[in-house]
Amino acid sequence: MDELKQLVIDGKADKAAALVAKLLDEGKPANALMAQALIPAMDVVGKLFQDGEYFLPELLVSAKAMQKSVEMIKQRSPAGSVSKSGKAVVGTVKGDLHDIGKNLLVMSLEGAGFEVVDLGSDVATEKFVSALREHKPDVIGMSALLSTTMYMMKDVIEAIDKEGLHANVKIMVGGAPLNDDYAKKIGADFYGSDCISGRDYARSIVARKN
Amino acid sequence: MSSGSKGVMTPKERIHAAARGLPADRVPVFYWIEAHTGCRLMAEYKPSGHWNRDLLAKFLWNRLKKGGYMQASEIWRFLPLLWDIHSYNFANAYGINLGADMVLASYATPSYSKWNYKKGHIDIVDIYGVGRKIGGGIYPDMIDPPVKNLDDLKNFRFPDATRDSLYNIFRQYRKQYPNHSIAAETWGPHDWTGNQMIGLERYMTWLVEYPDELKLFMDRFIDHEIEIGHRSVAAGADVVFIYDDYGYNNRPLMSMKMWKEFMYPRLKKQVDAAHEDGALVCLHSCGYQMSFLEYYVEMGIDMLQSLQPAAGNDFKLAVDKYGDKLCFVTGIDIQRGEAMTPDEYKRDILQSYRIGRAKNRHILGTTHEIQYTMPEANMRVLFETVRDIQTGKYD
Repeated sequence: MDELKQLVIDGKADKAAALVAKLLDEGKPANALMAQALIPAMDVVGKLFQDGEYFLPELLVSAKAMQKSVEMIKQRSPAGSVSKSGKAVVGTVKGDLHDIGKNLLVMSLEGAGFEVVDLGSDVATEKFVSALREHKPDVIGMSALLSTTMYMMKDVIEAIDKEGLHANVKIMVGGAPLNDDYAKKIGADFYGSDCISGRDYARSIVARKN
Repeated sequence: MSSGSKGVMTPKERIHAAARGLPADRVPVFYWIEAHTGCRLMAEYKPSGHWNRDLLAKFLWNRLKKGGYMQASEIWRFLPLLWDIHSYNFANAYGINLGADMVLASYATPSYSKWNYKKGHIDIVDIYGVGRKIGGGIYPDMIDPPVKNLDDLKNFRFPDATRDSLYNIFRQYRKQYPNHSIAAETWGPHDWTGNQMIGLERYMTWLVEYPDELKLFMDRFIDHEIEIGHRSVAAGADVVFIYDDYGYNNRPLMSMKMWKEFMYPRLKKQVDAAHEDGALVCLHSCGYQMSFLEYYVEMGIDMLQSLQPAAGNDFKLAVDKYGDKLCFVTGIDIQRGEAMTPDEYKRDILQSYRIGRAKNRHILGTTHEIQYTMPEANMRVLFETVRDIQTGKYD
């Protein structure tokens, strides 16, 4: 398990996935791989990122190693063998095709054991609302890179409020032109300055529910 | 800023004085104006003085507004951009009407090798083979990068940059604005290659997984960009403007070790080449910049544009430490400015002006393109405050 954890921290995707396959073949439960190696590995990566030792390239190669490992688990384990720590709906708002911030959040949440519904980029307000109805997530994350598109977040939040869905979901927003003040102004519950703070907030919401 | 200066300088003299730390008659100004904003300003703030441009700007702006801005159909969101690239960057040139001393222009206009409008949607492929679409926004963003694997990386052929007609914009500008500074857009090693040609996620992982292959690609790209800078200067530009976003919020995008390994030598090569051509170098870099400043100084960059406060940059600290070596093109905060009251915005611009004037190396400039979403009162206070600074009201 320690070796697998280190491979993810070091961003060795192929080696990590191969080791996952080997450990599953040896009878290790998928849940144990997640709980004892993969999730703790991404916690270390998140800490290294927040401490300024890791930057986007290192974060991305580690996330890639995590993803490949999770894919291997999915391939080799029956559906439902890995329990999820929470559920999130994530998307980039209408008008914005820049998706790296959103993708980083998706990877970070998956790395924390969340089930993530990725709506993609350039997502219309109605699609966010219908996804909330359909998936009933713990959190919804919206991202925007452009100052012209961040205004769409307000539309989405107003639509969620209007439909009476806000009571059951926490709304996170993030992206280069945003800040805490703007997030509060538009009625978001949380502004994440990076994907790790978003992940930590989502975890705290699920922990409070449990 | 005016200590020791005598007489009225031309805009170009003003820019060059600020870049070199020499006294100028007043602080020089740089406006970077996005195409939709250009239409809005010409329609609602101040006409350009060209009746045909003003008419078209008004028409396009009204269509966008009538359509509900981002809700307007794709063609109305796209046309201001198309006009901009087919009309020698009208929006930035319009900045001169508003009092700018330097104008920014890009080679290879029009730069979309093909675009199709089908069933309300626009698909674009640019001259680098980058597939783009407007989608729900106002920009032709990359959706299909031409470099997808290591073979593409090795074999990619950059477009021919030697064709003389690609540089007509600089000849036109030099004729039209003989006394202004003309900045020629080029790209540094990171941004165009990563964001546009490879795709940011793939590129970021390749920095770790395939460093040697990526460096060879960057080397070829930088030679291509140096050629563009060289020919732009020969055609009339006096500033080589290099885009390369190295910053994230409150931190660099990559470690300084990685930046020094990949970016520093290639950026320096560009800087040296521009200087050999007798041009000034202005680097545009978004996001957090404080960690890079000493290296920009070391490699001889003349001007740094942006220094966005929202990304964690401290203009006063930057001026205190490097203001006698590096000229900062900043002070008109486009990101935070939209959310300020007009009074707050005015105070913010004046504060930046006062910080910058402590040393001679300051060009009062926008921290990015002015966006059409800026509230009207803030837009007015922006231009009025800068105009008052230019007329000496706050000296």
